[in-house]
Amino acid sequence: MLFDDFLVLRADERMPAEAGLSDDDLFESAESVLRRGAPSRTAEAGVALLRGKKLSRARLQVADGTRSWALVLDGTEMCLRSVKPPKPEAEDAREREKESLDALFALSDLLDHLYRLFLAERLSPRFREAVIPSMGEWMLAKSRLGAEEGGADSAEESEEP
Amino acid sequence: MPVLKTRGSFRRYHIEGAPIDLTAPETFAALREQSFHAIDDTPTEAESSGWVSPWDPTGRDLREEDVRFGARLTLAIRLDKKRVPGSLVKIHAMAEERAEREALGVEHLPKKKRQEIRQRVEADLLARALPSVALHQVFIDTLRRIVLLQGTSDRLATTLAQLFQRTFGRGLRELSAGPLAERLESDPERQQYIERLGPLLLMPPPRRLVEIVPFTGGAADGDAFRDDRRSRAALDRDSIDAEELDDEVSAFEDGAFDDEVDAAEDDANAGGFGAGIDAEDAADEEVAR
Repeated sequence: MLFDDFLVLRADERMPAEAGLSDDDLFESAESVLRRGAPSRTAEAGVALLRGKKLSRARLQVADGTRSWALVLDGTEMCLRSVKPPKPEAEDAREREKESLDALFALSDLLDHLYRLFLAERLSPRFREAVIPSMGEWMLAKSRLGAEEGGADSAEESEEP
Repeated sequence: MPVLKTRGSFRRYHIEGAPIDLTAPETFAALREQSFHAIDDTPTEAESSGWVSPWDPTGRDLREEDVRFGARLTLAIRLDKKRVPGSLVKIHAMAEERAEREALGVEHLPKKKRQEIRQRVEADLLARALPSVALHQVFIDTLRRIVLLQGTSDRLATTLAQLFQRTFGRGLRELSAGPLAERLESDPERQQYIERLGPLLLMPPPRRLVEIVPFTGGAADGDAFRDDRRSRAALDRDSIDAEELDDEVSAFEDGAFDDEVDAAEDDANAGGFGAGIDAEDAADEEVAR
């Protein structure tokens, strides 16, 4: 699975009050959209996370054997947006329809499998012990990088209030 | 040209209750009963929705051999809507009222009469209006009990849920993050944990890691995952309610835990993000006490 073309990081409207954040902590905008140029590796992504935004949408490339799908996964609703399935290859019209249907449900199964892997990680004690600290270190490193480079990066960012 | 459209955006659902039996004759009888009926020539109905075959979107011919692929069904919801602009109704109603006043030789018509005229005009215009048509494909896997709906609007989702219930007598549960996790996770202890899990807000030290959805479930002592809930779990262990939480947040903002926060910051500066967590725990424990 590739996960690096389009990311949306969004602030939760309930977050400031419920998390005890002050007005100074409020986000410059509700949403950051990072496009192209490997956005998950950019300082902007780290800074947005540090500012309390969370990843809400991402474009994924999913491959299984010779088949591949492109889609935008909406993390809030788990909606599959802009799905582009592989082209069916069968010659018979009815067989092509069946192949398209199989491919759509195969994508559903693949996403379930990936989510199951995530859950295994998220629900294990290791998540707290190892994953959160490493995420934090990554965020801080990206944030420092952003400060040093003055925010210059190859990914395009747009702020959507 | 392919009839099935498997591109676009989809919402996913889990079919509740017993699996749908596609070999039972009543299944397709129910589908035909809930198939779409046109409102092109009806003056009273402004909206209509129902099942159609993607191969015959009129709704008149819903054939099993078209829509069934083994244990899967490929259907579409057709939604027709007629709309008559209010301004057009008003113009026609004013003309009718004037003609009525002149015929009766009166200066004013009673309110009831004016309402009757307006309703009649609206029905006449509705009968002449052409509906807007929307088709949304629906893919049902009866073995996996999964439904894929092409389209993401809430209104469409409600229409699907109602139509599905009327047709198959079963409810649909949208597979958003929580329900999907519950569907995929078979371990009861982990399922219980998922129900209680809120979004994780990651903030660098001296901020604490907090989960922002109010915690409503009971805490289980010795729960291997409990620590991950951070301050919410600490609060729950001592049954602190929302008001006390506000007090706690205020105290935090007023600097009551500055020492702990400073320690967390020092630790973080010395050893990175993860090092601050233990000090945050200390702050949480202090709050709980």
